[in-house]
Amino acid sequence: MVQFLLNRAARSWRCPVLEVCGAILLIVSPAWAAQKNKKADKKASVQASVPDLLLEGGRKLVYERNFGWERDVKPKKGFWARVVDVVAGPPEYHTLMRPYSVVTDSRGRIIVTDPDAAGIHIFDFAQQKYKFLSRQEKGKNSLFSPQCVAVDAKDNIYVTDSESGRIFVFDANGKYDRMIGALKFGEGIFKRPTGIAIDSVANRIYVTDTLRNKIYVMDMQGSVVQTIGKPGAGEGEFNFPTELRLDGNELLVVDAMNFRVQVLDKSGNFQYAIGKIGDTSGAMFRPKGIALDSEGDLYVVDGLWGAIQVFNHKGELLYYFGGRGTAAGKFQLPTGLFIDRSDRIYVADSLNRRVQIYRYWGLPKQAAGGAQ
Amino acid sequence: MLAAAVRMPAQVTVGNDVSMNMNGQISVGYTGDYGNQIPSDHGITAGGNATLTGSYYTPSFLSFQVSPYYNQSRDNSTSSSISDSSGVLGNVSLFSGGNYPGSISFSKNYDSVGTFDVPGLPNYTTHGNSQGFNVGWGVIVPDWPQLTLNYGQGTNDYSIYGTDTNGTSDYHNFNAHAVYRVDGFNLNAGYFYNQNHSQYPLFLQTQQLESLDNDGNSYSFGASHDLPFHGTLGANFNRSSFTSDFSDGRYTGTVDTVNSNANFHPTGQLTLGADFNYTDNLIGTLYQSIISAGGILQQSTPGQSSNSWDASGLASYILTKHWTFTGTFEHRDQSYFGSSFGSNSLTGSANYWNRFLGGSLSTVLSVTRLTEDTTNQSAIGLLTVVNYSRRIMLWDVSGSGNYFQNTQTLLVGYTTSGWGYSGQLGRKFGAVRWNANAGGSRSLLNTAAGYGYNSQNFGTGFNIRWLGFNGTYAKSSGTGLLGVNGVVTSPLAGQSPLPTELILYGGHAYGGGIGLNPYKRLTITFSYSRAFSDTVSNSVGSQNNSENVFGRVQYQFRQMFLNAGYSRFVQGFSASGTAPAQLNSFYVGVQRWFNFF
Repeated sequence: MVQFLLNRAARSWRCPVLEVCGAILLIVSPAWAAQKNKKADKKASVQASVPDLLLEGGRKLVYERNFGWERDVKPKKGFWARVVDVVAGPPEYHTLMRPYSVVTDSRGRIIVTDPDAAGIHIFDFAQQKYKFLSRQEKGKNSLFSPQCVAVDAKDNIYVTDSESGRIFVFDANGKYDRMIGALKFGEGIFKRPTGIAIDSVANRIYVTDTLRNKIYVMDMQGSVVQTIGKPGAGEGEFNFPTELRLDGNELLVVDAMNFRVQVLDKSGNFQYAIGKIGDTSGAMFRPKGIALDSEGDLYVVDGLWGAIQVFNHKGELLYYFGGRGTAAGKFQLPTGLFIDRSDRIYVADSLNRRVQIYRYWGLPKQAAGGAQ
Repeated sequence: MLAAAVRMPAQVTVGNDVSMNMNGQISVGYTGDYGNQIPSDHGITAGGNATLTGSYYTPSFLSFQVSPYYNQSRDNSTSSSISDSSGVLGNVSLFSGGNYPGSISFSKNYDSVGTFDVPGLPNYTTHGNSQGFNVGWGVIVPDWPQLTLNYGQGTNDYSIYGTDTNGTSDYHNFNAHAVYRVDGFNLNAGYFYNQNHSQYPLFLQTQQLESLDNDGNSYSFGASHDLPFHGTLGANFNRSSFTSDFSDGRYTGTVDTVNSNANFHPTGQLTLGADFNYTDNLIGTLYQSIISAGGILQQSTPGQSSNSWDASGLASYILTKHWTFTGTFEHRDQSYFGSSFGSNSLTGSANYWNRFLGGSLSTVLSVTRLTEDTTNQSAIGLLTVVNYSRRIMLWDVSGSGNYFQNTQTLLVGYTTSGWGYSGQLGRKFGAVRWNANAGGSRSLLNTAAGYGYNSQNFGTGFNIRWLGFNGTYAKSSGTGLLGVNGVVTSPLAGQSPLPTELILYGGHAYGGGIGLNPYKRLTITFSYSRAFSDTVSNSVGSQNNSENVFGRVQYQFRQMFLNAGYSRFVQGFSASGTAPAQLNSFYVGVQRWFNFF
């Protein structure tokens, strides 16, 4: 088991002397100011060098990058953009305030919920575009505290709001589409919806209601077709369930205060569970986000220890990475976790106000020539 | 623009110990001014302001802030203004985290806008220059007396739009205060010195300048000690000497006052108290209150002997969480203008609070039997206060009212009566939020009919998502004192017993405003107000009026603001013999905010 040796993130480094000189230059000459911006762009684009985590059988885990604000999608600016920056000032970039959950869609866009910003950030690094989604309406129709996020096959975005007790649906372009969970006279189905998963094949939405200790299964229009679970510590019972993840026919549920991850089938039948309470490696103390890689290994975020533990199907700990800290590769209250089809691992590093990205290189990919 | 490179306000560190931040804004635009009291001109103008903050070593060791501004009104720095003021403000704090904290502050303002107050109506506008300097120091050492020292001085010169006269004033003051706790005694001592000189125009009656020189100092000592039954016993002595020189004479006086009090709380519900006060110069106390309010004494007052003492006792009991009852007895003995006066008052009051008809109700009812020893006449004094608020259907309703009768003033033989009310109403009509309010008050001096004041005001407004509107109407009248800063209401006024000139005033004002925010970064505001008043002072009447029109359009693009504005200002006084001042201004320009470092 190897722990990362991490360097300090370059983007958090500032040289006060350079900034003073920069300020003077900017005041005196817009051209010099543009030059300063160029240097800053280069500085911002530098990512820390974090040693690879070498695993059994030639597998490895590679730290790729982190990002925390709108500016990261387009770190380099053109001449005219810099001229406008000098004349009118830089735009007000959106910043991750407290990223909670993360997911990617079919276009590779990274979607991050942010309860403190009361909205959703969409980072499109391929197109160098950014979008911020929010909804301010009267009563409980506003998006107050977005928690978990999921996308369907058409890249529609589904967001749970634990405060209003609603699920907000935006289309792939970010336009508000509908709200799920509201009943007549202002009542709602959910007490505190958190985790969400979409089954686009069966047209089902799975939502955990943490305070009701249940999982609601709904059709795409929001009608409840089934509920799963009840309060308790037995098989198929929950004590404050939070995150959900759908993998094939398996439904993985973070059973937070039972300190385990339960695996059910899509009908709600208990299959097996992983995890136990404890403060040692292999145990779970504050399980948060979960995800599965291409080899079926389960990644579980532990918020308290700031680490991600990786288990096999038998519940055996394979390795872990991270640790508490502010440097690249370290976490402060990590929450959401997502692994895309190319085994990129996205971790919402909430108190460090960033998302960190790793990539898992399994044997098939390396054999295909995907080395770094 | 530096913010393009850094996400947070940057901080500059000079060497190892000095840290500084600086931000500000610069504006450039085309301005045109025209009117009858300024030369008409137009052209490109530039202005700006900045704020530099920093510290040396740590903020608790030395911190500072300097804020210069140039060619802009502090009230309206982003658009046209009637005064393009410039100046600088600054302050330094030393050892704020230590035993010897200190501070130094200064200010210098050129062509800044000020006000000349009129009770119940919009204030008149002045403009002029001012500067001030203040230094303070403290000694806070554990187990030693805590000492604070302050010195301040400043000057001001101004003129009132619509007159051709100017006023000036300057002041110096120093105060020292010490507190010390030893053997269960809380001791305090203080010294205060004040000197000010003013020359201000009597523009509501003549064009003469009134001159006023005040010079005074005072000493005070006090001590208190805890007593059984959660009680305290305290006593204070104060000697205040002052001299007031004015155009027609001079007043010099010394006032000694002694106060002692005792309070007990034998149970959580019961409070008992007693209070004793003595002064050897009652009239001097009255004159000092006039001077400190900005009034003047317009007649020479020969030295007169006067004194006063009073003793009172109080018992208060909290019967339930809704009811509190209080009883008070007070005896006063006064001697002034060669006569002696005495009075006894017995007061019973009840406070009640409860939920009532779905709202919150609080009331006070107080009844006083007031008996004068010399005339043996009795009067019933009354005080009632009612406050109520609740939500009725979709309406938010709240209101309050009070009535008082034969309320004792500082002098035995002079009582006041009056009433007041206020009310607010609001509700939502779909997306529209509407509100309205009204208020008024009236106070009369019982023994001198015609002396008093009353005022009423009414307002309403509504706002939708991107549109807001408000309108107001006010009227006011009464008697007051014309002083350095304006007209000061004083129901206790008259040729007797006060040797000061009264001013009778009355007027009304109305205005309205509208604000639009049709797009996220576009703001449009417009306001209009007009005020009329009539004054009579020293048998000279004056009809006064003012008018303000103001409009502005602002669009924000990043840290840049595109502004366009128009303002019109009119102010006139018929007694001044000059034409009303008219100032018009328009402005189109760009303003940019910078976070320099």
